Amino acid sequence: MSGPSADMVDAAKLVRFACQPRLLPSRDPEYQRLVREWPNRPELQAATEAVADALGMWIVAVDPAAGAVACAENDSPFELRIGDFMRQARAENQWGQRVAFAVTMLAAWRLCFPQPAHLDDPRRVGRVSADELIEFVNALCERLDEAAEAAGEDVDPPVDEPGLERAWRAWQRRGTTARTPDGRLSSRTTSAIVARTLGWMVDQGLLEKASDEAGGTYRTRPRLRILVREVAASAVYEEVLALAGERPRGGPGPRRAVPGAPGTDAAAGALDAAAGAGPGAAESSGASGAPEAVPGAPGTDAAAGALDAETEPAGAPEVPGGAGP
Amino acid sequence: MSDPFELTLFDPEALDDPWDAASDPSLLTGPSAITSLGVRAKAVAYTRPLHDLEANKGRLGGEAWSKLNLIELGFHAIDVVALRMDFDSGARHDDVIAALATLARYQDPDLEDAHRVGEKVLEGLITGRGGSDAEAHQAVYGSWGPDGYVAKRFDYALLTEHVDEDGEFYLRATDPAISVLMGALELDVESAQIASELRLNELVKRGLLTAAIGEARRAKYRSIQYMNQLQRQIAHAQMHPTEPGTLGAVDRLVEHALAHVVERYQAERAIVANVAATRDNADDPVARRRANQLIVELEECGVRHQHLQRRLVRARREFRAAHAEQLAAGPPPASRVDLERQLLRPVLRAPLAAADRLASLLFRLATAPQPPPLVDLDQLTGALCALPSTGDDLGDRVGVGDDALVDVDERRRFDDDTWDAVDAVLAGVEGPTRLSELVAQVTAAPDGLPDQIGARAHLLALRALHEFDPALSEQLRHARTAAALDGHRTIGPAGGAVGETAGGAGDGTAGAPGEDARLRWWRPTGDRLDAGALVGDDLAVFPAWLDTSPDPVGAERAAAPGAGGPGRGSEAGPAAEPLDAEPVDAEPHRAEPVRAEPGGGEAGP
Repeated sequence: MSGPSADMVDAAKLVRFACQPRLLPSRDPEYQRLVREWPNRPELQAATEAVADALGMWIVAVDPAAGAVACAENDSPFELRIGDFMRQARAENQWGQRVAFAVTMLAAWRLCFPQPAHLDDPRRVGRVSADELIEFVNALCERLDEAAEAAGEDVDPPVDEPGLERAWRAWQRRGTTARTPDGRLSSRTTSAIVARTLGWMVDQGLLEKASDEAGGTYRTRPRLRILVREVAASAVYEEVLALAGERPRGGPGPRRAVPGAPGTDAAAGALDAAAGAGPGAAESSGASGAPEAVPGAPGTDAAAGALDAETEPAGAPEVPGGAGP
Repeated sequence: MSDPFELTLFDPEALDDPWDAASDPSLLTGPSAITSLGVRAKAVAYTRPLHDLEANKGRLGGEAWSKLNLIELGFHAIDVVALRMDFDSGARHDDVIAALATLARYQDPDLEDAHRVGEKVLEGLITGRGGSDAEAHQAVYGSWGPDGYVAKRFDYALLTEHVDEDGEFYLRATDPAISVLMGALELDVESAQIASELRLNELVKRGLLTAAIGEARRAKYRSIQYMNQLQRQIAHAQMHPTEPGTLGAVDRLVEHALAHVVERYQAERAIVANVAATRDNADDPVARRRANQLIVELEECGVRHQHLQRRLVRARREFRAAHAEQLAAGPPPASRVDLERQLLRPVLRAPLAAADRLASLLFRLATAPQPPPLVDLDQLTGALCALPSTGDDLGDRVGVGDDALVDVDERRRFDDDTWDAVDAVLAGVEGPTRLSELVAQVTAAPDGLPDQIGARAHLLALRALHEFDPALSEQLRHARTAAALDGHRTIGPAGGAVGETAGGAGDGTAGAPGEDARLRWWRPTGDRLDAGALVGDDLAVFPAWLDTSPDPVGAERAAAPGAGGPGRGSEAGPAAEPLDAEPVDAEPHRAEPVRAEPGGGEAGP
């Protein structure tokens, strides 16, 4: 029996590098060689997938600048759970802290890549500060509050079902900052959670601290762009659809993109007209409710269409192809 | 529901007045009545922190606080915060506490811990204080669901804490807090402002200045509320400069707000002029004082409106710049998900329990695979109880048969047997001997193989060369001369260097002062040595003792030439021996050692 093939050895090396999120290929000649050869070595790709799969990992992407981006599968021995990261958020009913973490992360993505096109621009270095992020989320929450009130929507949770509290209300209730009796910052506030989350993103090689200004200012590293590009439109989007009570076709799990999700040509084609009207619509639209350009809306998916309709103001035209369920 | 993120202008018609629903006669029974009760319960809830403070004052301050009115103090706190609020700043904690302490001292001049009163009141208004910190006040109200009556939780805040750019804390009052101050829940601020002015003007005209002052104060709070709302809308627009319709909406918003502010300002000026005229015509000093008070209130409103107007103009300019910058980027590709619209907003709108799943997913996706932690309890116990490993300084433990153990090359030129044989021969030197004789001794040893014999001769010659030291000859000669002069001259402790020089040659060692050092003194003979492998000048070797301390007693013997002196052990006392010196003029190879070594006494095996 012959020894392990070169592909197998290289695959294992790549998996090893994938466990070092802060290591850049440019810092390690071997790593650099592997990521450069990656596109032209289908055998290596297959071997890497196999090794990662067997270990309970998912190779999200291999990028020449960011390196191998991977994460642990659910219940894999390599998985670090959110409860291990936020010890005080381990208790079953500490939803608020965990959701505040998720909101922080998504808001950081949004602020680092304000335009969907930024995800395709390898030269773009996004910036985000803790203060800006908190202000941004607070403003979103206030608008949701105002809208719920204006619409007479009842969003208060039953006393015995705190899990039904809306995420934005939980964020607001937490408070931005609180002065402890000795004048320091309380750790339960959103600003404490935001600082913690951004620090963790630094540990994961997603961000890099630029300065202490504005509560901590951060720059994006290549890994963040690759991660967001790869998971935002598939795994995360799919879970968000599930939040709205709509299971998309296709099984759950991070490995498969949602059928008809952003990224498919059909959806892109259907939306060309609307997207092309973007700037013009922005200039000219008035109170009449000009057609909203819906960048990247997954037009072919019924469930997505349904959610989208809920997201849009009343009276906005249906996304082409988005037949209601 | 309409899009909460669309910019909306303040349209009084579009806003539902909760009191309308509650006062509809057809709703006074059944589920609708429950709903209306809920609305009222919510309205009352805003004042509950004030009542709680008053109800708990016994617990907070005991008997000493009995004269205080904590409801008033609570109102005052909100008042102070609201009045210090600007577009993007607020009141400092310490300022508010100081203001409260002042009022508390008015309420009870004998009060001792007025500062603490201020702290407690502020604390009671900032947070719920029931459970964890940093959480809002909570209230419960009823609503009617599909299954009948449902008790619902409702969270609100009166004073919120913020941190400015310098890291300093400040406080802002929320809209509900300002509504509490005004004693009403008026949702449409603009209409209320206009109505307030009409009332104010009417009151001034009718000379009801006390009522007019109250109305002016309410007008002031409304301008603060208005500012709050504008700030939120503009902040949102600045975050979303390219959202369709935003540019037009911001323009309209700012224009509308500017017009409103200018109108308010003009109305206030008109009222101030009226009040001034009333004051000037009044004879009653009380009326004049009230008119002055009213003017102060109104002018404060005016300053606030001027400031707001400047801020609005600036906001529009900033927004246009941001918008132009974003548009320069071009339209987005259709194949990407919109991070805010399609991910963040739905998550914020979702119930906590559902959003929690997404939090776990996001965390897992964004975390690189981690080496599995040590979770097995047996392993953990073993790891914790393991003895600390020793020998870290020495490197890793080397196992038997480890490949790390390899034979090293023998680097010694002469083996131990050779060294032993040569040592024995040198130790056996008891009188002046020639090197050629010593060579003959080692080569004549019967036990040696030819190789060993050659090696012994070689080593012997090397050691002779090693011990050969012209400087030693010089020193000995000098010592000999000196001893001849005064009879007890010795080489002192410093002469240890001499001992070292030669001592390295054999078993002789340079000892501490007072001890003898044995050495061999080699000097050339002028004869030729030819012993097979060894060819060169022959040497003579003399055994010698070096004493390192002066000894007048022994000095007499020092210069005494002659072989086979008395054994050292027979000497009286432990005194060190003086240096023996060899007669300079003696024929070298015949020269007697100045002091003969006692036979075998020092020549160990």
